[in-house]
Parts: sequence; structure tokens; C-alpha cells
Amino acid sequence: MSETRDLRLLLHAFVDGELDAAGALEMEQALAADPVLAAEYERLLALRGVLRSLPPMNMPATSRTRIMAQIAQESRVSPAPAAFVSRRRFGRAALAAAAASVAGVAYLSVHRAPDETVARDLVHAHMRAQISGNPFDVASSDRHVVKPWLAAKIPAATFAPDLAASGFPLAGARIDIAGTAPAPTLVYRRRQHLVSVTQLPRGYAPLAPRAAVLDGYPILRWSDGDRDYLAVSDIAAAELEAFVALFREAAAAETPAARK
Amino acid sequence: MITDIARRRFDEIVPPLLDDVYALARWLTGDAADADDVAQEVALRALRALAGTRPERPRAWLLAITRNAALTHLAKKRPQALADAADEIADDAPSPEAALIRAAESRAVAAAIDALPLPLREVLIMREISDLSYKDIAEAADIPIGTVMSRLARARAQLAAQLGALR
Repeated sequence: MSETRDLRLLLHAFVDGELDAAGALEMEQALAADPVLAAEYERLLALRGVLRSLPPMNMPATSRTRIMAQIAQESRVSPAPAAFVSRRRFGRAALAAAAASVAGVAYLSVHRAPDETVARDLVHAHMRAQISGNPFDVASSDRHVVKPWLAAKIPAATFAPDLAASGFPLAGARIDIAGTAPAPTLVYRRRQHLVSVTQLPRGYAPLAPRAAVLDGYPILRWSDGDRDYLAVSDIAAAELEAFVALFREAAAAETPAARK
Repeated sequence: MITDIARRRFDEIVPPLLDDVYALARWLTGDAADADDVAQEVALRALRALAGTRPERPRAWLLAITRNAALTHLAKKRPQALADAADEIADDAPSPEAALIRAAESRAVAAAIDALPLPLREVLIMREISDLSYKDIAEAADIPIGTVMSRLARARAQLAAQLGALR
């Protein structure tokens, strides 16, 4: 392999951040001295830019739900060879089975602690919202539309911060049933994903945020002293935590008088 | 037997990574329905594996499973997709200007990626889309790091040449 080709391979390693500090320094010096190499570098950066701006290929919500339903089923039964065969037939047409499996989980939850039941209700409301294509009862990115709509349905005032600047635009709201009581749920968007935030009566959540995973979905519960919240999403747990931090920050900034 | 531990680990590790699994499967198979099947297979393999192990770096681990499941799927469904050997590819096609590459549209880029032979495509996708390190790619594809580097260089050269040839 010639020295030039060697240098070209190292250039890829440089672009990919795979060179150590000394190697990167050498490459920077070589780039400054060699216009042909510098042109190749530009080309690689252009290619990287084009590849990074390809639209994301996110998993469709229906696929996600089907996978989680199947995992729930696999976790309950020990996988005999027969199950191995039948699962190969668990094709696209098996959404009904997925729904049945989800219903089974809901049934089991009756025997759990009440707050667990509520959390599960809300996770399932989020799942249903994703699959149905109607994730909210009122679609609006304007909190001055969403809040009055909720106020007309539910006695408690709802806090609906504007987080669009931080990458979580408001998409709408819906009424979920938490246990036996209606509860306002705000729906925020994150890329192709949704974040559901439900406001609950005091007593459901600890003061400091507590994270958990329920039926495969990351959830976070927290309280601002007056109100309790539960957030659920299919974004990564770390991203959900970032969302909750923003939400709490906005809540702290809002004066009690402005909360109406 | 799928234990509670396996399920807990699964819930913790896999759901946040499903988009990554799907994207890799989608780019490797080039088909949404195939990507669905692969992702499902990956979830099941992961659940079983998690009964006995807790991976140190879950993302690289799960994407290696995805790469292998995708190739197994392709071998069964479209054996000819695997027929192209990486070594038969001519190198040193003319390289276009950076500006020409930058002007390429997403659809053209996707078509150019799909046109790459699988050994080059998988390395490029694992690096650029899945954002895996050379070491992770080498382990997932079971090839030496030197091969990762040379294939990546070829994949990029071919891609650039294709995009340049569009105008």
C-alpha cells in the first residue's frame, strides 16, 4: 500500500474521530500542506453532511406495539419449540392478537397497587393514542387553545408550558382516565415521537422525579407540590428526563398568579 | 425459560433502541416489511440472550444482533443480495467536487446507498447511520478493523462517484 493511500485511509479515520490526539494533529498538518488531501477531506465532510441529513428511519408505532406485545407474551410462557414455529406466523395481520395481549396486561394490573394501576392506565392510553393516529382530542400547538379546552372539561386548571423552543412543541391534549377519574393529558412532539404528560391529583407521585419502565415504555413521575405528573413516551429515557427537566423548569418560572 | 430478570433487562435496554434497530435493518434490507421482520427477530433474540447476560455496551450489542439478523434474513429471502463480493469492486472512480456532493437530494443519496454491494453498504450504514465505532463494526461484522477501514473508504468513494455522476 502506497504512502498516499495510507494517508487517505487515515483521513477517513480522522473524519470518523478514530485518531488519537497525536494522529489528529499530524493529519491537520498534512491537510494544511497538501491541497489534494484537503480536497478529499472536503469531499468526505460533504458526504457526511448529506448522509446525516437523510430523513430518520424511525420504527412505526404499530411495529413497536406489536413487538412489545409479543415480548410480553414470550415473557409469560416458556418458549417451547412450538412457540418458536408459531411466532414466525405472528405477522402483520396479528394486530388483533397484540391488542388482546395488551388487554391481558391491563387485566393483571387490577391486582397491583393503585398507583401502579394508574401508571399502567396512562401508558396504555399513550400506546392507544400512538396506534390510533388520533393522539389527542384537541389538536393545537397553541396553549391558549389547549388550556381553555381542558378547563371546560375538567375542574382543575392545567399547566401547559410552551417548550417548542427546546424541541418539544405542543401538539394537543386529551382526557385520559387514571384509575376512575378523568385526568388532563398534554401531548408534546419530539421528532416523530409523542410525549404524553398527565396531571394527577396530589398523592400519586414522589416530589423528586422517579423513573421507571412500564411495558417497555419509559415513564417519569414527579410532583411540584400542588400537582403530580406522569410523563410517558417512546423516546429514550434520557430524552424523557430532559423533557421533564424543561417542564419543571418552566413550572418553577411560572408565578402562582400566572398559573390560572 | 424467559426469566423476570431477562424481561426487566429487556425493558430497560431494548425499547429506547428500537428506532436504531429499525433504521439499521431498514437500510440493510432496503425494505420496510423486511425491516419489521428483522426488528421482531432481534427483539426475541435479545430477550433470550438477556436471560444469561447483561451486555456492557447495550447499543453496540443490540446493533450487532441486528446486523446479523438482517443478513440471515437476506440470505434466506434474497440470496443474490449476498452474492456481491466486496473485492470485485473497481476502485478509484473519479471523485466529484464537494459542492456537487452537497447538492445531492435525499432520494438520490438513498438510491446510491442501496446500489452499494452489501459488504460496503453495511460498513457505511453502521458507521454513518448507526454511529458505531470501527471496533464495534469490526465485531458486529466479524472482520478486522483494517478491513472496516478499507471498505468504508471504498463505500464512500463509490457513493461520492455516484452522486457526482448524477449531474
